[in-house]
Amino acid sequence: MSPEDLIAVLPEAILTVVATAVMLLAAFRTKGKEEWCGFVTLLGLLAAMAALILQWPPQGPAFDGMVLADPFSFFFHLLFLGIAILIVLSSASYLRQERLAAGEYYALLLFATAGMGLMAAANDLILSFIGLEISSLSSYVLVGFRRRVAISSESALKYFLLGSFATAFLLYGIALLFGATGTTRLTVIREVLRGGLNPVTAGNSTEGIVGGSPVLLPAAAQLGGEVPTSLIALAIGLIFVGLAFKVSAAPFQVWTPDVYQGAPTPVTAFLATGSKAAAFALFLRVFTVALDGAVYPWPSLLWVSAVLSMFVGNLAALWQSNMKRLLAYSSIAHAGYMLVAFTANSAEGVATVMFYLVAYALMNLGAFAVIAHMGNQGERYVAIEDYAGLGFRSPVLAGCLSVCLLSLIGIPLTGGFLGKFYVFRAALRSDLLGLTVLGVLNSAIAAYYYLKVLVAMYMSEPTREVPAPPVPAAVACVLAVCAGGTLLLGIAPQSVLNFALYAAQWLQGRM
Amino acid sequence: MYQLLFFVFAGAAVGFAINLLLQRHPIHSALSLIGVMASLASLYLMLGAEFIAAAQIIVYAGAIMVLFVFVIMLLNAGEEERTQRSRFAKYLGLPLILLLVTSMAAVIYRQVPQDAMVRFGDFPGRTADIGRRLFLNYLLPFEVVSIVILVAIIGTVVLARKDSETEGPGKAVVSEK
Amino acid sequence: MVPLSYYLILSAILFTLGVAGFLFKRNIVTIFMSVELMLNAVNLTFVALSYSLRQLDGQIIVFFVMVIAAAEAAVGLAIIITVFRNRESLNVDRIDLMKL
Repeated sequence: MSPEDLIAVLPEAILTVVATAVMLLAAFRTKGKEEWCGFVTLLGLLAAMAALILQWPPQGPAFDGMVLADPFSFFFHLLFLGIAILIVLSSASYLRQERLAAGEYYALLLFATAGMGLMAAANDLILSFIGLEISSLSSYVLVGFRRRVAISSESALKYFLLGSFATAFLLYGIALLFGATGTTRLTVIREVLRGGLNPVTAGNSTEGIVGGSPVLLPAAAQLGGEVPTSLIALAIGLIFVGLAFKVSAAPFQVWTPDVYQGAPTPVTAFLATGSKAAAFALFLRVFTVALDGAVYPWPSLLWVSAVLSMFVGNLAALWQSNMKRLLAYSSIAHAGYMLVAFTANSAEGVATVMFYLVAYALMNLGAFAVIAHMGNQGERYVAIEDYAGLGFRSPVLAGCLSVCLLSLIGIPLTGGFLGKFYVFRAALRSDLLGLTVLGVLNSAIAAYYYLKVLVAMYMSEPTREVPAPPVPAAVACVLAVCAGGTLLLGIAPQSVLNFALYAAQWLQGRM
Repeated sequence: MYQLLFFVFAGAAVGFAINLLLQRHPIHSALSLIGVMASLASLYLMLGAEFIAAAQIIVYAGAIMVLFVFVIMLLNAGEEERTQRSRFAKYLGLPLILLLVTSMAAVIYRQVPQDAMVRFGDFPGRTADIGRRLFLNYLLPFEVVSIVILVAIIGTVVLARKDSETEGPGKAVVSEK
Repeated sequence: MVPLSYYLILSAILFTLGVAGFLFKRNIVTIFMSVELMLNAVNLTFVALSYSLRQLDGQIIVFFVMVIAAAEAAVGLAIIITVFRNRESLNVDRIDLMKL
């Protein structure tokens, strides 16, 4: 193991160590331990961000090509750590109010972030799978964290059962891909599928050591000799099922509303932004790197899923009265928009997905921070009618929520607008006219339910007494960052977009 | 001989798996699953994977299934009730499953060459080689998988422990204190 | 001697039986056991492919899958216990506080 290898996984190492430290801290300190745990967690996340700087300029493979510290991984690490910082800031008051164990909560959050980082950086399907499991297992527990609340544990159960079901499909897909190409290394799979390497020798091409004994290679044992196409198509289908579940794309979205509703609100925000971004990172890496040369046209699979996600998400959201369920359906629809850009299957499309994830994370974290704050003890006030008249009672809170909702609709001068604009531009440049038309149509449908909330906030009288506690400093900070960031992305998107484009080109070309 | 052994164990695996589905008491299903795992362990031996066969018995049939049986006993799970299943499972479930198994079997049958034979002792997966490869090539996943276990420990403790006074509002809890 | 495809088809059959168990069983613990059955089927595929490719990688992957299955089982059963404490039932159709 060389220093370069260590630097490539240093952010994850720091997150793991800090998570353990936070738990120990919670065990030893009795007075004011919540604040201390939160503080140490924030320091750990900042330290991981600082460690990321060591990875610049991008150095490429580490651990014999097991991990790639490329700009793509760098971009997603920044995104995950940023999301985690905002979640920690908005969780502190929520944890105190619900009287939840802060030490374990923050530790699991840090572990989940480390797992996501591995998903973005891994160049081997096994490591990706382990990263996915770290983040999934942490999320299952976080969803059920209010374990005395029946709907919270019910959400955890649904998430867990459907999640492990989807994981089994993903794993079966990996197994068949391994059988067809003889390796789990993404970059090697690409070479095999392009016809450059023989499946049987592929596994040994990256590293010389094969366990000391000479490898037996009778010709009869080879899988066909050439690449078996329909086996790969089956593998792609199974991997797609597993990953579509994680990004909550239709038709594998059934879990989303229930899980988002029952989970503690900061955890819902984490699932909607962090987990989704991590799943997309893995999705992009597997499909654009490894399956780049696959004969099977996977964009058509994504086409169907994108259209279904947009329609299912937007149409079902029209009837929702619970804010968390509303945003759950909106999250399905947004997964659909991102799949539109993904279907374009170009460097621009990949960069657009990455840009959209940043914009989506900012606006969603802002909206969920308001919901978590408004919910009050036991999350009693999460219906849309509880937001009636919010614009007069607390103008600043309502203002921040409005910016986020306008961005979710896609009003100009917000990050959401530019995100959608780039999505449709990428789709049009790849001649996906039908998909673009359907996407624009869906954006129009979506405006209705977001506007319903805005109308409630500014134009209707409150129907019942909703307490308006003062906004804690940490939450105010989150709101400022989210609203400000959303507007900034809407006005000056160039730096983020250019970096995403650079990362996407690196992903497709160099490695 | 090899063929006979294969069909015995394959038949046992499928038979136990079907029994898992047909049994209505979870403890019977758990025992069937242990049967599946034991049959698979024999098949692993026939494929020359001695280490995996041992791990299958010790980890899967031993540790994981004991956990299952323990929870079934703890929760005193009774016979399964026959409730109205969801419409999805009722109308789409069976065709979907048949489609899945036929397409998978067809693809595998077509794409895997028929002359790829499995003989006994053709590929001895020596445990020492596995260890060497695990700690040289797969060092990083090996280290990382420890985080999975840590997460599982923390998660289990968080979810299943009894209430302390400092935590948890809400419903009255039945406790035998 | 047995063709390799027999092993792979056996694993496909076991996987599908796991899917069937997931869809048709009503007891949460049995549903979770069906998922374990699916993972076992995948393991058989890995070991068989490892044999045919004359590589140990497949077996090492199985080792990782086992560890992850154990972790998943621990977390899953803890979740099942919390659900049972809240609802006093192990039937998925009674776990229905939120409309699906």
